[in-house]
Amino acid sequence: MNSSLSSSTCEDHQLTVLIDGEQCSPDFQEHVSSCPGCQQQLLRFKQKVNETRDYLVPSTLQMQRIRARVWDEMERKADRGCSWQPAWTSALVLGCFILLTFMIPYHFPPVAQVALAGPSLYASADSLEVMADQLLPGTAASDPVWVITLSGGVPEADSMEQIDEMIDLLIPETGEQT
Amino acid sequence: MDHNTFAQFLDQWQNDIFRMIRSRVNALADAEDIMQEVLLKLYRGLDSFRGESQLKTWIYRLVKNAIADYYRKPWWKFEWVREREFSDGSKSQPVLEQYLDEQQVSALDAVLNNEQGEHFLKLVDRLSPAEKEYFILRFLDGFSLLQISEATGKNLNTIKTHLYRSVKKMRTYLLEES
Repeated sequence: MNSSLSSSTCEDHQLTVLIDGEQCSPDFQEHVSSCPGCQQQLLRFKQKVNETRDYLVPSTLQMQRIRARVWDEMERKADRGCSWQPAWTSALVLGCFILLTFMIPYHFPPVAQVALAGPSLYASADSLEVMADQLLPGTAASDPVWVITLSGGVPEADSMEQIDEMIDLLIPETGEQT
Repeated sequence: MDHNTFAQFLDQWQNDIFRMIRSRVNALADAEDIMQEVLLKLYRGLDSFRGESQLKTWIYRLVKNAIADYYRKPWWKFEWVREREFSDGSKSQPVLEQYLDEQQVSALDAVLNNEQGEHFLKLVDRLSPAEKEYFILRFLDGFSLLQISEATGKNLNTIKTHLYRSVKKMRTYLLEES
């Protein structure tokens, strides 16, 4: 029991000395310096740690290679005028070109095309009925479109007699009978 | 910052920085890529370092962020990084070949000098993520408890608890091995 207590105390002392390091209380330091078992354990642990630390140090060749890569990258970034990479810029330009060429004309036809379509469409109409049909589809065939012009829209009468006959025909003379 | 000043800075810090990365990243090729990123960030950011925290803890945060960023990177960027061309016209080797080459070199080194170090790292890998992180910070990166607290933002008691557990486990692993 005494030995187990002693080993437990030793382990605690070793842990405290290892973890706290120089800030460890003097009591622990004294114990460790006077206990051969603790000294051996601590020495073994520190030896392992130091071996690992040495193992993790880069070789000269490795470090030369890494430094060369770093200098290379620095020069490349210094040469680059802006942060845009050439590949990205090219891709962006190509994307804009495709958008302008193929996509936009389908959704927004150019104004010139509309202006050209108008006169050519109406130039093909050879009569007023056709034009009316274009303007009011479905109504032009059944309902005649009357267009009155000053020059010849209304039939001209040759004489006053013909006008009177026309009036008599349209309005019967009812007043004479009464 | 000019190249000469930065080269002097690297002479002083490169082993510590690479150790920080290598102890947290298994693949050597990945560790070199991350090292390059960290050095580039340091080159750009050292002038703006205000000294509010210690340089070592500031570098640790840079390393942690660079590792996280590296493994968040999309697959196409991974390929681009690994197949880059160097200034001398040589291209980097394909990932697998490069990895195998490096493994051969590191295995040879391990056999000659530092087999124990590699083995110790495998034992560290068996710890839980939090325990592993605190263990590496304390013993491999050589941070004091206060520096760990500053770097991680955790209080000292939490850190000590994790460290006690991790060192105890490591002692058990080492005893099992022996």
